[in-house]
Amino acid sequence: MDWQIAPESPIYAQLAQKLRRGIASGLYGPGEKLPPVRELALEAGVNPNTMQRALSELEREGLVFPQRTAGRFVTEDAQLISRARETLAREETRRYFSAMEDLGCSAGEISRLAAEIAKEGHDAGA
Amino acid sequence: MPVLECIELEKSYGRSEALRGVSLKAEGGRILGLLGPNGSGKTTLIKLACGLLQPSGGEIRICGLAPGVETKKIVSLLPDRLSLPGYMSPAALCAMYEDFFEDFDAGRAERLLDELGIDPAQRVRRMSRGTREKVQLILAMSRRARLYLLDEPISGVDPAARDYIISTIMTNYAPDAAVVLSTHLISEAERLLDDVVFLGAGRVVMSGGADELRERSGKSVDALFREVFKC
Amino acid sequence: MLSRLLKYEFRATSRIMLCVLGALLAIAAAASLGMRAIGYNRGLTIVGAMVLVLYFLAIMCVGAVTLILLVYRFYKSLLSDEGYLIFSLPVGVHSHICCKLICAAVWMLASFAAILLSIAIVASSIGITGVVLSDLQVMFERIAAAWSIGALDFASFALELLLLAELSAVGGCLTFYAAMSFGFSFSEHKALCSVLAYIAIGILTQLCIAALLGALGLLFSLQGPGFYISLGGILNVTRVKNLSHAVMLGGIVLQAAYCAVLYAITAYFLKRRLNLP
Repeated sequence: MDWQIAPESPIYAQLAQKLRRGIASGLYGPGEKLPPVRELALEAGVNPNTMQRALSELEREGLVFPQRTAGRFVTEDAQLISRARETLAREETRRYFSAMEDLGCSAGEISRLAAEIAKEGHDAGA
Repeated sequence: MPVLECIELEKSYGRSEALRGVSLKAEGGRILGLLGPNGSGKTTLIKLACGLLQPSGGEIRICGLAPGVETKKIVSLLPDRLSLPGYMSPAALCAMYEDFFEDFDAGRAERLLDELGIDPAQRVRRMSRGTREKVQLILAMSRRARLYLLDEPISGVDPAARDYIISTIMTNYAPDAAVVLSTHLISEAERLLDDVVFLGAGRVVMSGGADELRERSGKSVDALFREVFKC
Repeated sequence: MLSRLLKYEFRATSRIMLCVLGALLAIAAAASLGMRAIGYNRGLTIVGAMVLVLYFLAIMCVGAVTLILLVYRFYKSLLSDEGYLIFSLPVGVHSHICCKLICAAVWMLASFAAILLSIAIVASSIGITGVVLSDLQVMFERIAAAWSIGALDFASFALELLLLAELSAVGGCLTFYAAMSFGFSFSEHKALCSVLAYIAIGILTQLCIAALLGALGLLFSLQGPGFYISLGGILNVTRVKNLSHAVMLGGIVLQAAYCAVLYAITAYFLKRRLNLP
């Protein structure tokens, strides 16, 4: 995972966001065991306490649960994961729309562009 | 009990005051950044914690004890100068550390020296400055101390070495050990820090958790520093 | 802990010292050969004389190197950047000072012994040693017979003299240590302050000695003639022996006190006024 942490805002919040994306996208599959805190922190280049705080937040949201000595696991609740995915997707869309509006694009233009790019991607894939 | 505690600590050299009314705490399992411009008293504070200086006023305590022989057993210092005797080799220095410090992990030191490709039999005076600094860092971090005092560990070092030093500090994390790190290269180090103390002209100008400060100010610690210490 | 410090201190100093002392003995051996060569023919005489001169230079070198080394070790280890390492060791200030002092005392004794040995080596070539020794023996026997001074008395006197000499050497050492500890407690002009402190200690010592001798002289001058007559009367061998012991012991005590004062100064400045670069 490419962590890309910016120092301007609380790091734990950014880490939590990245972890949510990881779970929503399936990078960390349902029921999968997460790497230990120290390893994640080293990967992200951050303080283990900060990573710990991010994971605690995810625990509070129910996306992740601890199992006494075995470590932390991603939830198996598929509904919860898809809800998180939906929330993240909405955020991303809002951001996209806001950026397009800054460019002065209308709603019609946005739909047209979206269809074209999607087709491009589909053709490239095929 | 905090690992390091300063209570209204003061230090003056003759007429000039290096530290005035400094109060701070460093807790176990956390990394504290001592940030300030040159001459703000960071090195003075570290020397006081090591027992290399005596305070002019106030108190400084390590695990509740005043700095002395007992605290030296649990404090690991990385000074901002090259302090290794030139005629000794890393192997000889490891043996010496093992002789004097019960908490020295010789195996870890050997491993780190090997990782960096440093010849343990070569005398220190024949090594380049960068290598000497790395040896010093390895010796300091191979101790299982309660308090690590790192004085400007990443200044004057190339960027690749900086990354290595930062990751070494992080992997050395132990839940009962506190790390106090002084630096003026804040943008490189701020991801590492749990807590932050801004030291200006010998006084504590600002302090708090790193993320708390980011939330409050909406800025990185580096940007906040530049704002607070604008010339 | 002190024994561990000593181990490292000897390791740091033994290479140079053994080299220098070894060289001295080697040159002494060469000089003893050179002595035999003198008078043989013109060429060898010149060589022999040069080797002899070299030998005298070597003795001076040994003295200089010993002194410079122990001063340098104190500075390098405790007052320079290395001090950050040394003073972070979990060892008290007294252990550090004693370690340097013991090492210095040992090497000074060793240098002295080496010089004596080298003299014996050189002297052996002239064949005067046998004559000198037998003459000395005769002299001692006569003194012993005349004044009933036994071997024990000579031995104890020699020991007292040795102790006094070693204490004086230690005192000389401590003068440097105290001056440096004081001088380096300043932030600037450390070397200058040390030199000034060294001179000041010297002057103060001389003043104290002068004051002491002056007081003693005053004491004697105040005594009436009767004192001197009675003094002459009580002067027998036993009293002289006791007097000489008293004087030696007095000297030892004074020298020890002098060392103690300098030690205290050194300890104070290293413990409370350490000012590493």
